[in-house]
Amino acid sequence: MQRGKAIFFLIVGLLIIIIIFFQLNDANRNLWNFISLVANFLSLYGLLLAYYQILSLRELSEKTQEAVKISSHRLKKVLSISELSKSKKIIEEIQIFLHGENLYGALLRMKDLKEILIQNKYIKDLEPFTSIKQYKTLLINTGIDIDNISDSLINDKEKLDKSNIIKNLEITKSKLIEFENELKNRNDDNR
Amino acid sequence: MITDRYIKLIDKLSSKTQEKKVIWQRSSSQDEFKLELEKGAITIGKYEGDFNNAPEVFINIYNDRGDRIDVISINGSDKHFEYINEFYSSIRRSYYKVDETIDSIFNELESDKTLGAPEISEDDDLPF
Repeated sequence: MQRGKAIFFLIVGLLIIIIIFFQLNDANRNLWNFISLVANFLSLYGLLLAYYQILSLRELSEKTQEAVKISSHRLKKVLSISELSKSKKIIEEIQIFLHGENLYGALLRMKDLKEILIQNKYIKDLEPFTSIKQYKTLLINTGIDIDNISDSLINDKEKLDKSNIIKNLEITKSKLIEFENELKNRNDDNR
Repeated sequence: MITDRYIKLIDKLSSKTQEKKVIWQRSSSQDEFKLELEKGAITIGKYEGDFNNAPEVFINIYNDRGDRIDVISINGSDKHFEYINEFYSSIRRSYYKVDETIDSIFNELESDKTLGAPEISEDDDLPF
């Protein structure tokens, strides 16, 4: 389409040059003047074509940037959702470890969970959820539970209340499901 | 050894607990209670001791990322033990609402109504 327009303006321009040439008096209507008129027109045409190309390139670049931004945002959103899904799986694993009295396994996965909960704080899309007090409570409770499991493995003085840990994990899981659904249903234009 | 700064902290927490202005919760360790704060949390737990070990009270301080940033351990031989132990007992009483329960027992005892309930017999019909 662009090329068609360029050819159209070239033909129209040349026709105008021919008309102008035939409007000249007999003395000036010679080959050298015709070449001169055509050359001037071609120079002007070349300049306009270059300017038009620059504008087109700029528009293309802006569109590309916008497309990259949208893709990047969608990718981040997908990654955020995947991180939340991963956290849910980890919670389920911890609960299985706790039911099976495998405190070492539970401790390792609890540490993974805490790491993900901290990482979530730095994901921009999750900021509305991670900045609320409830999220801090989840993080603190996870920290306390990790230390209590760890202490119970090190010394006999600590008597672990597994039901409380499982309850805390359930609360964390419910919150993560809420975050995930919020994120999935959020309009992409609200970025 | 417990520092003066922590003694001051425990003083404040103790008076707030007695004024019932602190909500203590159960922690994931038996005999341990936690208090959530804006910038972290405090937990307090007790080890009752056995033939070989003296009783101990532990206070843990957590930051807002859930990291344990300090541990205060006071065992039975420490001069502050009685004080910290009493603080722990006040938290326990606050959590289980011991004082409120005893007050309600007193109220019941001082009333004229008959106390207690008859034993449920197998022959009793359901109330519906």
